[in-house]
Amino acid sequence: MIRFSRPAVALGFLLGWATTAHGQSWREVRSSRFVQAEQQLSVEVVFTSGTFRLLPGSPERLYHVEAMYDEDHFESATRFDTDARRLKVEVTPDDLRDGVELDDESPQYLNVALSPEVPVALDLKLGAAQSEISLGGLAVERLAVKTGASTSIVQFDRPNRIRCEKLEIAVGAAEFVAEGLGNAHCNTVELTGGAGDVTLDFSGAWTDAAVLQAELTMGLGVLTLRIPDDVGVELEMSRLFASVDRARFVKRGSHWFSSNYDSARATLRLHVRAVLGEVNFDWVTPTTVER
Amino acid sequence: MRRERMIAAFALAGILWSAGSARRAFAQEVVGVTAIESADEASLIFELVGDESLAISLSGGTLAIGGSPIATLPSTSVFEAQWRDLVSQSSHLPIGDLAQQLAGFDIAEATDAERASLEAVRAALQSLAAVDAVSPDVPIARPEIVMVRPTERVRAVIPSADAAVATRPAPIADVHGSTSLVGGIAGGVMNLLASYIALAFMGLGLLFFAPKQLETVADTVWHSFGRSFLAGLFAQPLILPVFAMMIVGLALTVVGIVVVPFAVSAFLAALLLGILGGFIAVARTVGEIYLRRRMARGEAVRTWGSYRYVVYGLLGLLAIWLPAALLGWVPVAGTLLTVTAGVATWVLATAGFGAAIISRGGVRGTFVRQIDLALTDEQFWTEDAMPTPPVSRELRRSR
Repeated sequence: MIRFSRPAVALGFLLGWATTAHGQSWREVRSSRFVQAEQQLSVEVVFTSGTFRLLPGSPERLYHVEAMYDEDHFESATRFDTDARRLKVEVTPDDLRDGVELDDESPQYLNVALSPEVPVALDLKLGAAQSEISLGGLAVERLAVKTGASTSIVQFDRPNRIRCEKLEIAVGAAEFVAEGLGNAHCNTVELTGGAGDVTLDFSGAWTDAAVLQAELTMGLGVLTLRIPDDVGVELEMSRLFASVDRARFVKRGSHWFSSNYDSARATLRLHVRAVLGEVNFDWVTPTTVER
Repeated sequence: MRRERMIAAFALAGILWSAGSARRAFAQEVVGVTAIESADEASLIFELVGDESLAISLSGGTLAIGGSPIATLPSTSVFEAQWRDLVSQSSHLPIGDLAQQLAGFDIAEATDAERASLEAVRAALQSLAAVDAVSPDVPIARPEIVMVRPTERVRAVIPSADAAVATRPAPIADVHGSTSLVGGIAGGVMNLLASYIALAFMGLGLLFFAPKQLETVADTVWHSFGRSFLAGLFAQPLILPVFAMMIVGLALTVVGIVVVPFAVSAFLAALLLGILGGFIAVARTVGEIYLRRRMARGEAVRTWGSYRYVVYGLLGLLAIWLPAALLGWVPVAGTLLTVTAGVATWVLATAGFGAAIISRGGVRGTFVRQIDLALTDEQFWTEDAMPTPPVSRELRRSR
C-alpha cells in the first residue's frame, strides 16, 4: 500500500488549489480586413488588462487585430462598421464584481496593426495595461489616449504622413512617455495628468515656422518636457503648489519665453496648469530625420 | 491556316474570359477574415462584400457552417487537428493564398463524419473568392519635412539666459522694484483695504446664504477656541495627503480621470470656503465680543444684525496688519511686525478652519455655547410637561 506523508499530501492540496485558482482558458482572436478604398478609418480600442501594441501594418490590410484573453473572465469584440468606417476593438472584463484582477503583467495581449495608406483617427482607452503605441509612418488624423494605472509609450519614430489635428492624452496613476511629438505634426496637444510620471518629448522633424499649441494639466506628479534646442517655447503657467523649472526662460509680460524664442525656427506654445508636483524642461539636441 | 489559328485563339480566349466572369459572378468576395481559437473552439469568419459574413466553426466537436450544424466529430479527430492548423495559419496568409489553401484542404483516411464535414467545408470555401485590396484615393501628402540639423547657425542663436536678458525688455518685476517708500506704504495699505472689502463682501454673502451656519461656526470658535485651534492645526498637514489620495483614487479608474478636474475644483472650493468662512466666522465673533462689551457699558449701538459683527470684526483682524503695512520698510522691526501679524492671522484662521471642521461646516452645534441657567426657566420644567426637553450637558450634570 502506498503511503503519503502529511507534508506531501498538504503540498499536493496546495498545488491542486493553486492550479485551480489560477487556471485560465485562453482564447485567441485574429481579425483582419482588406483595404477597400476607405478614405478614412476611425479606431476605438478599449483594453483593460495586459499588453497593448499598436503599430503600422501592411498597406493592403486596413487593420489586423490579434488578441489573446482569459475567456472565463473577459470578453472580446472586434466590430467594423462599413458605413461609418469605424473599427471598435474591446477586451474587457465580463463583470468586475466577479473578482477579476486587472493586471498589466497579465499574459493577455492585444495587437493592432493599421494600414499606413488610410488616414486614421484613434481613440484608445487603456486600463491596467502596458502599452506601446508606434505611430511613426501612419497617417494619423487625430489621437486620443486614456490610460489608467499602466505604463504607456507613444512613439512617432517617423513623421506622420498627414497633418494631425489634435493629440489628447489623459493619464491616470501611470507612467506615460510620448516620444517624437515633433514628428506628429499636430496642431494641438492636450494632456490631462492625474498622479503619474509623464514625459513628453517634442523632438522630431518640425516643419519650418510650425506652431504647436500644448495645453498641459497636471494634478499630481512629475511632468518632463523634452524640447529640441531649436524650438522656441512660449510658456504660460497657472499653478498652485507645483514647481516649474524656468531656468532658460525669460519673463515678458505675463508669459515666459525660452532664451532662443526670437531666433527659433518653430514655436511651441505651452499652457501649463499644475496643482502639485513638478514640471521640468530638458533641452535636447535637435533630431536629424531622414526623409 | 494562320487565320483559322487566330480565330481559334480568340475563341479560346473568349471561352476562358467568360468562364472567369461566370466564376467571379457566383463567388462571394472576401474582404476580411477573423480566426478564433480556444480550447474548445476553432472558427473562421469570412467577412464578405455587402456586410455579409460566413462563419465556419468547430465548437465543442460540432461543425457548423453559416450557423447550421453539419456534423459532430470526436474531439481527437484528424479533421479537428487539421482544421485547427488551418485556422492558426489563416490570418498570416495573403487572401489569395488563403483561398487556395482552404480549397486544397484535405485529409487522408477520413471517417464518414469527417468526409461529410470535409465536403461541406470545401463547398462553402469554393463559393469564396479573394478580392484585391483597393488603395484609397486619398491625397496623403507627406508634409514638407525639413531635416533639422544642429548647424552652427542654430547653435549660435541659443544664447544663455543671462545674455538673452540683455536683449529683451526689462521684466515686469524690475519695473516694480523701483517704487518709492511712500508708494510702497500706500500700496500695502491699499492691499489691506482691498482685502477688507473683499472679505466684507464675502461675509455679506455668507450671512445672506448661510447665516445659521456662520453663526454656529462663530459660536464654536468663541466657546471652544482651543479645541477649534487644535482641530485646525491637525487638519492642515492632512490637506495635501487627502487631496493626493482623492486624485490617486480617482485616477486609478479610467472613468474617474474624467472627474478629476471637477473633484480638484470642488476640493479647492471646499478648502477655500473652510478657511475663508472660518476666518470670517472668527471676525464675526471678534466683532460680537466688541459690540457686546460696548453695549454692556451702556453705549448705544446701531444694529444692522450680524453683518455689523462681521464688519467690526474684520476691521479688528485686519488692523493687526496695519503696523506691518506702515512700518514694514523698517529693517528689523518691519520684519518682526510682519511675522507677528502673520502668526496672529494664522492662529485665528486655524481656529476658524478648525471650527468649520468640528462643526461640520456649521451644521453641527455640539461645541456652541450652552444654555445659561440664569436666563432660562428650563430647570423648572418637569419631565411630564416636556418629555424630551432640549437640555444642555451642563443642565444634565446639575441634575
